[in-house]
Amino acid sequence: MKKTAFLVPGTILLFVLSGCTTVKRFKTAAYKGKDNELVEVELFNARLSAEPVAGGEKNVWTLSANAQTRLIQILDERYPDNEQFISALTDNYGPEDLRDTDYTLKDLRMVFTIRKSRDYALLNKSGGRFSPADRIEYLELSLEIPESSRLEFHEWNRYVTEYGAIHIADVSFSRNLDLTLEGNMGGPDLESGASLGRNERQEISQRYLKLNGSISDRRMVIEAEGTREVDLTGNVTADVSLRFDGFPELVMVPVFVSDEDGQRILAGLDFQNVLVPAMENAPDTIHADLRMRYIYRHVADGWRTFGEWDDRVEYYQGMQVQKVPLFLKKDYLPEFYCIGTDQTGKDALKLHKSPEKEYLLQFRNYREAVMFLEWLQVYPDMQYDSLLIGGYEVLYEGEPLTPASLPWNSLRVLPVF
Amino acid sequence: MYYLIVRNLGAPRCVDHSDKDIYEDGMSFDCTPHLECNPKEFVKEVEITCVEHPEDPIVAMVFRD
Repeated sequence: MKKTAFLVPGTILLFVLSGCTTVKRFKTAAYKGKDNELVEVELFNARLSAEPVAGGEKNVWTLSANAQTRLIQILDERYPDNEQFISALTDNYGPEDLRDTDYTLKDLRMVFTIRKSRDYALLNKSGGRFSPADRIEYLELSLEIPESSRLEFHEWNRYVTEYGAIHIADVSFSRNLDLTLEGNMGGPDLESGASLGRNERQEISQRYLKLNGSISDRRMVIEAEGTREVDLTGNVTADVSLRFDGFPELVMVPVFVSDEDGQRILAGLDFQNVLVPAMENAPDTIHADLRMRYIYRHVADGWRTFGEWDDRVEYYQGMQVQKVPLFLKKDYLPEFYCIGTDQTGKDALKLHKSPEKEYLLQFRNYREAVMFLEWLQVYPDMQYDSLLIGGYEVLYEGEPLTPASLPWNSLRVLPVF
Repeated sequence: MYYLIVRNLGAPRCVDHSDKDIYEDGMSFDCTPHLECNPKEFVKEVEITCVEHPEDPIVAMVFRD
């Protein structure tokens, strides 16, 4: 009898105590339906840059100790001009940077801003769908590039949220991560109510976030799930590599030497094959389709406490689709320059060897084009019938360039694209 | 005279010419020249590849004078 008298209340007490533990996810949960107005997404920053290539720079400071010693011995009786001496030391003697030959690979950094609708006017209203304890529990962002842009995702470099980062270095890599992160939701300790005389101390010293990502030629998908008290509101940064279809171009690299008087002389033109983005037209903006799906955890009751265990949760799901500008023309056009006049369209200088070998005289940057134009304008031998460089005849408006035909005052450096 | 014209990044160029219309889908051409040409009448479109980069086919236009 005594045993029964203790057993029944003891069992009830055990159930009550275990029912009040603060390690629960929620008190009740129910799916309430779709609402596409609870969360907004915006691509507020997309920055395109040439893909970085591992530096191959070689100058005197990267020489081995023996080579540096030898160089110092050679320079024991160094050139008296300090400026030229220092200039020679800082010259780059390494191979050409690979970035100069492939303009189809670009790095794109995208920053997505995720924000909740914070409608404080509906606090305490029965039909309201906002409380200070609400959070975005699950988020899926997908970005799809239209096929017409002839552009594809090449590699996924990094994915960063407010809470953590993952590095993904493979094209079709996909994995789940549980990130353990330091953090604290408003004090290291939380104390539950002590209505039953039970005082439970729980340390909230860790947050949990699941990140997941996948990438294919035309589509990238990133997912985040806050498994405990993590609101996914905030910024999400995705670093990806993109590859345009390639189109071949031939650029000319002028090679100059100095004569005894210090005069710059053109020693020749190096022909360099490069790849540029292949697009019939160059649209001002390349757009992508951004889609966001989310699960919104609305706390209908219990939001007065920081802990989630006493929450009466209502789940909503929603989706947003929008077209977002990914990058602009200036971001992907190669900055090639030619020399010509802009009075009657682009009448640019060409190089001609035979009817089948005629090329636009174009340079891979503004500086080299200017150097060539300066050399052309002070070319010492003005008595030529036609200007030959490396066996190629220089043409202007389809005719050999001569001192008489050279439009001295109107020749200028022009962008090719 | 027939001319093969490719257009990339908004800039057209003549990369080949021929007395006869020899141009067909699947042919390869050197895409780097900027030849003088006098295109007047559009003939057709062909899908070609560039010998320097055959991975990505492109659409070219055939004109005649």
